[in-house]
Amino acid sequence: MTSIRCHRVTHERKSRPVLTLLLLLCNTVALTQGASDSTFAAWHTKWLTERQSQDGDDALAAAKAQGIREYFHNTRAAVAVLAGDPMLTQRETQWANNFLKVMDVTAVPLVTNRPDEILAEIPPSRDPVRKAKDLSGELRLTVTGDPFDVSNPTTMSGDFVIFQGTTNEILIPGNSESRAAQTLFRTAAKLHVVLRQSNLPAMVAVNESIARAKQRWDNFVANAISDQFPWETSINGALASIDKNEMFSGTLAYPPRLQLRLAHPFAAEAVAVEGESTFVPRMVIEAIGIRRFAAETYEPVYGFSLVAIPKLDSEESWGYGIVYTRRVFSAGLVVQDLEQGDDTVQIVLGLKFSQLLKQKAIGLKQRLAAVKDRLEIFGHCFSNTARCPAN
Amino acid sequence: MASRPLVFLIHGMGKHDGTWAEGFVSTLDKCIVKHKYRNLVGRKISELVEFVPIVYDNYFEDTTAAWKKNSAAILEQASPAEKEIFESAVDWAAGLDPQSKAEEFAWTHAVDVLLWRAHPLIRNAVKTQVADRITGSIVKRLKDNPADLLNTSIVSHSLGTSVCKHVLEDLSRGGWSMGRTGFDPTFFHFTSLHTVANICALLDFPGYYGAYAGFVKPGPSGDPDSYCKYFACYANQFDPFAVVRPFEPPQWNHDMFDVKRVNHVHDLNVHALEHYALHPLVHITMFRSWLGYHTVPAEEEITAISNFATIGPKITKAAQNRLKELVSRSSGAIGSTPDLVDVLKGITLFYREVKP
Repeated sequence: MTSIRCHRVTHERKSRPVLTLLLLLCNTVALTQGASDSTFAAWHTKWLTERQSQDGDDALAAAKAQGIREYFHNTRAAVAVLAGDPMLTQRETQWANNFLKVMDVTAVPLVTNRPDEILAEIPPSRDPVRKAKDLSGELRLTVTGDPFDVSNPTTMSGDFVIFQGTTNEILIPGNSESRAAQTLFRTAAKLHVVLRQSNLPAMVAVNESIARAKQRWDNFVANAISDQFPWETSINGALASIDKNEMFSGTLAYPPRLQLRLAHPFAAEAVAVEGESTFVPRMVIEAIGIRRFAAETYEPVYGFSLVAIPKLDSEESWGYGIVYTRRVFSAGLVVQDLEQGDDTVQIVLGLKFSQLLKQKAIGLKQRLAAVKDRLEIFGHCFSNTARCPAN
Repeated sequence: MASRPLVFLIHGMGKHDGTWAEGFVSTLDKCIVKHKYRNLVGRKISELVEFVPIVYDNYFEDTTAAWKKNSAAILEQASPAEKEIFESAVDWAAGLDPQSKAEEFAWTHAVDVLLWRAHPLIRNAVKTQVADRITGSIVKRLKDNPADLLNTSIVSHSLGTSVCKHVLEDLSRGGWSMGRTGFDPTFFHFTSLHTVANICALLDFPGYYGAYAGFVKPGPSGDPDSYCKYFACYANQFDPFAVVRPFEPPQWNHDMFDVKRVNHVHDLNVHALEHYALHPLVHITMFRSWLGYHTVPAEEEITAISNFATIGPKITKAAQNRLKELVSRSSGAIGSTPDLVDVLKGITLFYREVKP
C-alpha cells in the first residue's frame, strides 16, 4: 500500500527534490519489508529481462528533472535511510554502509559549493573535445568516476558482486533472498546509467576525433605510403620510431606531413639543353629527398630530391642533379657526360609533367590551327564578300 | 528487455576480410549444439550477443600491394638497358607473390607481424581504425539504448591481442583527443577482455605498451588504473606462439583474471581462433562473461569438459608426431629471448607446414 501511494507521488511531483527523496525512502522501506520468495539469481534474471530498461528510463527522467548533483545526493540520502533500517540483518546493514562509503568517496568535495558558477566560468568552445568537457562539466563536478557498473557481475562464480575488487565489495550469494541486496543492486544500476549518459557527450567527442583521425590516416596511407618502395617504408618507419620526432612520426591523431624519399626510381623524360635533341625516356633515381603533404587530405604538396641518372652505355657517366616536385609534377636539371659532350646539362621532366606539357602543346597546336583556319576564311571574306559565311 | 552484449572481435595475423569472424561464430554455435547447454540450446549465439568483427588487415595488404605495384611499374617503364640495373633492386618486390598456397600463408602471417612491430606509422593507422570501430559502436549503442546496462567485451586473437592492448592503452589516455576524456578508465570499463593466444609478451613493446604495464588490466569499475572488469587469457600448450613466452602477469587480481590452459588438438593449426573456441573452458568462459555465470551452470561445465576429447577424430598418431616436431622447431626458432627476426622465423616455419 505504501509503495503504491509513493508511486503516485513520483508521477505527480517528481521534479520536486523533497518529494523525490520521500519517494526514494518509501520505495526503499517497502522493498526491504518482508522476505522474498525468490533467490537473488532468479530475481536478477527476471529484473534484467523485464525491469532493468524501465529502471534506467526512470533514473534518467529523474536525473534530467533534478540535475545530476541533486539526483546523486537524493540517492545517497535514500541509501542512508536503508542503512539505518532496524529490520536489516547485520550483513545487509554492512552492504548499505559499504554503498554509502563508495558514494562518499566518489562524490567530488564541493569546496566552493558553487558548481554552477564554476560551470559558468568554463568558456564555450567549438572544439568537440573541449565542448564535451563543458557538457560533462557537471558530471565531473559531481563525481570522480563511475564505480557503479553492474553489467554482468557474475563472471567468475555464481555470486553477484557490486564494487568488485575494492575494500567496499558487496558480495551477494546467488541464493540470497535479501530485498536490501536487490535495492542496492538496482540503485547501483540506476546510478551507472545516469552517470554514463552524462558522460556520453564526452564519449561522442572522442569518437568524432578518432573518426577524423581515421580519415587522415586513410589519406596518408593512400597518398604517402602507397607511393613508397619497401626500403622507404622501412626508413620512414625507423625515423618515426625516434622519440620526440613529430616531424616524421606525427601523432595518433595527425600523421606526419613529411616523408623521406630514398633510392626511389621514377620514369622521366630528359633532353639536353644544348644542341639538337629531343626528349628521351629515362629512369631517374631520387637518391635522397623529402616530400611535404597537405594537412587533412595528405595530398603531396611539394618536394626536393637529389637525383641520379644511371649510365646506359660506355660513353655515358652517371648523371647527378636536383629535382623539384609540385604536387605530382616533377622537373629538374641533371649534369651528365653524354655523347654530346662532357657535363651536358639536361632538363628532366617526370612522366606526368611531360604528358601534361604534351597535352598542352597539342592543345596549343589545335588552337593555332583553328586560328589559322579562321584567318583563311577571313581572307576569303576580304577578297570575296559574297562567299563569306553569315557569322 | 535488456540489449544484447556488444562483443568486438579482433583478428590475428594473416589475410582477413569482412567475413573473417563467421568461422568463429559458427564454431560457438556448434559448441552449443554439441554440448547441449540447456540455457542456450536452440538459439544462435548471435541472437544473444551482437558481434562486431573488426578488420585491420587492409593496411598491411595495401602496403604490400603498393610495393608490388610500384616495383612492377618501374620494370614496365624501364628500357631494356635500364631494366638490368633496376631488376636486382625491385624485382624481388615485384615477385612478392608467393609461388604456393603454403608460402603465401606463411608470408601473409609474417609480414603482418613485421609491419605491426616495426612500422609505427602503419601501426598508428591500424590502431585508429580499430579505435574508430570500437568507440563508434559503443557510442551508437548508448545513443540507441540510453537506459540499458551495456556489457562490452573484446575477443582478440594472436596479433590482435597486441593490437587490442595498444588501442585500449591509447583510448584510456585520450591519445586521439589530447587528454583523458569520455573513455578514461574512471568513467568507462570494458566488461571483459578475452585474449586468445596472447602474444603481447612475445612482441615485447616498451613503455606502457609493455605486456603487463599500463591500464589494460582488470580492476574495479571507476578505478583509474585499470580498463576492464575481467581479463581472460587462453593458451594451448601445443601453440608455439602462446607458450614460448607465455602471458603471465605477476600480480593481477586473481578474482578478475584467469589463464585458461588447454591442450586439445583437433587440427594442425592449433593457433587458430576457431580451434581454441572448441574447448569448453574457452567458450564457457566467454558465454558466462557475456550472458552471466548462470548461462552455463557448474555441473554442465564439468560434464562438457570431461566429455571433450583432447585429440580430435581427424588427428592420427602420425599427425600428432608431426605437430610435436613442428611445435618444437618453431619454438626452437623463436628461442627463449626472441627478437623480431626470431619471431618471424618461428611464424614462417609453423605456417609453411600448417596449411590453410
